[in-house]
Amino acid sequence: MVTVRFLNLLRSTYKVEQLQVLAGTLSEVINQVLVLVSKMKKEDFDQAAIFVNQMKINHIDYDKEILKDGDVVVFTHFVGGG
Amino acid sequence: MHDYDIKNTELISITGLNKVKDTRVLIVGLGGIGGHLANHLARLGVKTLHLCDHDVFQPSNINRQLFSSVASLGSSKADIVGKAVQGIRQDVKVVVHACRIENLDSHIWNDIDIVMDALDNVKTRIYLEDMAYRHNVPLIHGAIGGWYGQVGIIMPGSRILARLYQGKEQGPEAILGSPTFTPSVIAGIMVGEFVKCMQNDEHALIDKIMMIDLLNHDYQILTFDEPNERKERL
Repeated sequence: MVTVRFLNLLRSTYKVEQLQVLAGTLSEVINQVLVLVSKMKKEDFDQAAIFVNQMKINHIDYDKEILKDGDVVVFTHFVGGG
Repeated sequence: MHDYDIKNTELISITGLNKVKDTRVLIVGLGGIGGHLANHLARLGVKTLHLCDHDVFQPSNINRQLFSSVASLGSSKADIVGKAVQGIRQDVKVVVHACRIENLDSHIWNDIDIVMDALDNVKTRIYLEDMAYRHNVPLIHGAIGGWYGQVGIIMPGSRILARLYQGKEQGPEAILGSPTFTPSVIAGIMVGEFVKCMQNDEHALIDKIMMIDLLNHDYQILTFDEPNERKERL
């Protein structure tokens, strides 16, 4: 299983901190999340920064990024105010 | 050592404190985060503080910006913060730059050892990261939005901010707002990281971003892979 964690705004908005989903590509993982958290929208992921095992990945790698059992993927939004 | 420093030497060695005090710091942005940074750094005894902000205080600043007041409305943030900081410690050399960072004289960068990002928009943050890289100066980044904030130490060449924001010009802070309490928390963490960085402490957030969630009481440290063009300093 892959652990999916939501930080900051995503966590607060959808009241979900962590999920377990089946291993697969990042696209497949996101699709599983959208089923489990029905209010979440695909656009939320377009705006999110994504880290796999604490390492930043680029959005263009959605389909190439393979998540294995034991991996932890984090979705978060960054802020820019001061 | 000055009597003003006694309470800091319980935590920081005299050698370490002297290194901190001798570091020449540029604070860019003197709003919510920046005002608290200037206050903290002056009280740490940092001897040379460059303060850069083109803006004037407005009524909407009073909820969070340390040196804003009814009396300072309409006045230059750089001038007001400069005077306040000078009043905290007379042995601090304060250099005020009441201009946009884009208009800062390039020779000023020769007098800077570390720059602190307290800006309020992504576009200028990316510009500042680029300038810090060009002048081989480490950047301590801090940002807020609502209950959330982030802090990291960005070494020249890592280009973490450009990779973090990925071309976006704004985060969700426009809808999350800028509350009274978040900027001071983030500024305090930034100054703590500054002290760690100056002491080569292994816990410093070098090329990492710590995400801070004050609503859910959550801190997460996120990392970035090594870019090819990175240069080392410190």
